[in-house]
Amino acid sequence: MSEKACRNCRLITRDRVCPNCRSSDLSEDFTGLLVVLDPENSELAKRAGIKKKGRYALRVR
Amino acid sequence: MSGEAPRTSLYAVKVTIGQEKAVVEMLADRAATEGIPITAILSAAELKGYIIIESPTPHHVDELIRGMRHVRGRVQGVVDYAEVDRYLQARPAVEGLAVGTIVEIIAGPFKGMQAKVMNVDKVKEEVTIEILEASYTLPITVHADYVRPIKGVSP
Repeated sequence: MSEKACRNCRLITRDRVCPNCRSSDLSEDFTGLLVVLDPENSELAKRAGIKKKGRYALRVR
Repeated sequence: MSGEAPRTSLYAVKVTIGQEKAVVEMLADRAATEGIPITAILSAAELKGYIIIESPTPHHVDELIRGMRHVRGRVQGVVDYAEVDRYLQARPAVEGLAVGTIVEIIAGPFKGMQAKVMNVDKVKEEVTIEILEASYTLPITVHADYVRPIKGVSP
């Protein structure tokens, strides 16, 4: 299954449901990539509103 | 805005164009397996040939990218957080587009042509445009990402 990004939290996943927010509103059409390794100390994650480790899309259509 | 200054800085790294995402994935894997204190790595579609690494010190970035394929080196100095804010915050694609705006089509079969915006659908983020170079009026509807405003509302 191809990678999809959650329209709600922007997490990139191969599952049918977002493992982060349990939303099924996923899209194959996304751009950008932000890998958050340490959300507690990351200013980028804070500014993007991300609180959990993972791979996120920057823009989801 | 919190008053506390961030303990990390942003460093730009030059990479082979088209390999930005692959490099981000490889670097993230290396940081996790080798325990290098990198807090986040970013690749934006608008930023071709560069990735942004967030780390407490530049030495950790140098350690992370050493010997990595497709990496051309770290750019001297740091990147301001304000500069990357525009990649992080999802702004509406229809921003700056209104009826009458002259736009350039930046993708698809009509790429490079100029058109006039006839209608804006803010919910679907679509615009209906009329190509200026066409000899007869042909309204087409495209996603707002595929056009770039070049001139404000014309009379």
